[in-house]
Amino acid sequence: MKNPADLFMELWRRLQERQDEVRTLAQQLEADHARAGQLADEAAERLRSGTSALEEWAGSRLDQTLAAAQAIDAWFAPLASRYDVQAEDPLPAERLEARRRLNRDGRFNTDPADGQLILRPGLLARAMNIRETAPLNINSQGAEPDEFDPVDLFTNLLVVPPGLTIGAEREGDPDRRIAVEYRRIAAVSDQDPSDPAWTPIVGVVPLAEAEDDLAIRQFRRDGEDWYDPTPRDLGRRAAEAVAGLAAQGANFVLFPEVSAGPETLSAIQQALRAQAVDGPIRYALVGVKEEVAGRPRNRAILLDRCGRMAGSQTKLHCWDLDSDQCRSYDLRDRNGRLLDCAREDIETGDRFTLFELPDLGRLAVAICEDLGRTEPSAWIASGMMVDWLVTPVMDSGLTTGRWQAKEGGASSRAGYCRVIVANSMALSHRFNRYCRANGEEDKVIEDCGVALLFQPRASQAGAPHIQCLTLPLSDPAPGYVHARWMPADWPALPDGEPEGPEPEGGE
Amino acid sequence: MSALDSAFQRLGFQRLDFQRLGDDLLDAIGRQDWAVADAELETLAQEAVAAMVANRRDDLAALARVAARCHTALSLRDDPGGEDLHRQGQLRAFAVMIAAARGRTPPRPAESLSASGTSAAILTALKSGPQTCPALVEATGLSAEQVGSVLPELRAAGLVRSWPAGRLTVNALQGKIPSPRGGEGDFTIKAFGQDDSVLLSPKAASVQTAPDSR
Repeated sequence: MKNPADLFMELWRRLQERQDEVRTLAQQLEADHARAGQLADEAAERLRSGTSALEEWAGSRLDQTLAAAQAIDAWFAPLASRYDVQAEDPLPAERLEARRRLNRDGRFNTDPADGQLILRPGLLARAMNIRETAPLNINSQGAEPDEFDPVDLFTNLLVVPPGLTIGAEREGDPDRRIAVEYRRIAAVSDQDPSDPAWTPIVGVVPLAEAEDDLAIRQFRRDGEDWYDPTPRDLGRRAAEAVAGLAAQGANFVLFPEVSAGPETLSAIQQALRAQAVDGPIRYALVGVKEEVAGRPRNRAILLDRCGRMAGSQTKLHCWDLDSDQCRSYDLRDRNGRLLDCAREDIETGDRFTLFELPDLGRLAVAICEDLGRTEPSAWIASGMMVDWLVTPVMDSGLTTGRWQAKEGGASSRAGYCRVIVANSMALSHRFNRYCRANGEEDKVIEDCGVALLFQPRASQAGAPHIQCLTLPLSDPAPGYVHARWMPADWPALPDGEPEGPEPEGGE
Repeated sequence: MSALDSAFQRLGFQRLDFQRLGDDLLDAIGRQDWAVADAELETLAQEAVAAMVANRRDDLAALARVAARCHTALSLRDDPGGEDLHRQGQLRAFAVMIAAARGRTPPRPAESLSASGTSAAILTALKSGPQTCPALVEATGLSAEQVGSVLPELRAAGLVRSWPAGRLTVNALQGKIPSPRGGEGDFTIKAFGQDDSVLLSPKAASVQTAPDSR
């Protein structure tokens, strides 16, 4: 007898092959709850007899195929709920096997070539599965028929595909495939993210405070201009910030894009280790610049409470600057000439990872430009599969009117993940120099936005809440910001496009 | 002193000092007194099981902190011996067990869920028939977050049954809902109104009227 997960994968493939018909069927069922109830009941009855009976019943009929897949989805509900289900538990042996597989293999299905069948809700969503309360694109104004996604037919299960087609590394290049991986990290934990009363403290360390803390090196290669940000060794500053945030009770500490080199990273690891036994920090995410096989990589490294590396994400898309951006960031060649364009000199990544972290929940990292791309960021958000989407950036000061707010707001509107953007301060000095040179004193940044925290909306009628944390550019002491995740106290993000003009320095 | 500690003191209780237990365990391991270390571990295990059985969430949280703290301290030791690693492994198993217990909450009793608050409002709204979650938000005036928070508990308690309708989830009352006036209301299991030909199995539920509202 097939295990329920493998039968689900088979049914899922059939549904995907007939998406147009499935969309029509779903719409019919959304209008006919009686028929949906009958189908659900019949499918559940067959599943009680085993997956063979369910598979036979599903046959080739589309409505029964969908009902069978949804019955399996419902069978997994107790694993996705914080509450103990006090009801009959059909197929207990299969339930045990499902638990074993998830813990052991990080997926319920047998064949990894199919991808990973996982629980759709992250740890934060175990007490409240918002997907069913605020279903996507149903009854929402302006919903496009094309927005139908078969994923939304399932509350408890999600297929993480083995690969994803993402945009070109650079304009003009072809799209490319990357690997996608759900990685469940098993570790001793003492925080319970599924507890609705859990209100973690998030800290952000901009680290690069002065302009020369993050030097932007320019050079020419193959007839083109390139830029290469290089962080100074700021290990002592980083270690003091970690200690300061530990004293403030921070649970999750973020360092921006390319803010740390190897020495600084080592200092952060030591500082984490120093607080590991009695301190509150459980994870830190550090944007690093490093060389791999002679090529620069822009990565975010996830460290655990002891400073050990728990995972990493390499930037997937380059951020090539146009002439406006070169002007805004005052990027000049060795002769002092402003550049017309400058390409980011990095080797991009070929893998995207969803991390399941016991003390934090499910985390995805989209470095800077990666947040603005449909894949993987929009895929993550619409799939409602992660608890946290974190974006380290290197930019001039964050505001609720900048592109990061727009993209972060869109992600938190479309899905139900918390979004954090962490920024450094170095580029704001360059931006201010440009503003002053052009008589645009009103645009000069004094309080530099170093963190944006988004709490997603809970319904179509609601609004995301946003917290923008700043440090004065002239005196950034203590060198970090932090906030307890209590979005009820934060301002609501206005619906639609953020107001205010995008500064020219923005992407 | 936390509010909980104060409350305990007013009642004449002393909160359990798990932190000291953890310190003593680490001390015992540090001086390689394995008999004492194992005794401390056994006490921790006994306390954990007692807290699980009684669903004492605060004690479970405190025990989780002790386990993680001791495990972390051991994992940072340079050149640990086999006996150290053995206790570290036991602490890991202990922490995993506590985390599993903390991740699963027994739903409140049916009487409590139906007595008052958001859960009672949802149960009342469902007396008029099956409803989707957005419809429940509209019917009750509760926020989507409130409805989304309570429905999983109502399902786990066996008071609400749900089924998918396309991308929507439909909810209906199920089983015996305790009446606010005492006793139980045995709800008619009749699906979707008029036609018996669309009756669901006895486990599927759609409530026509609650007995105490007749």
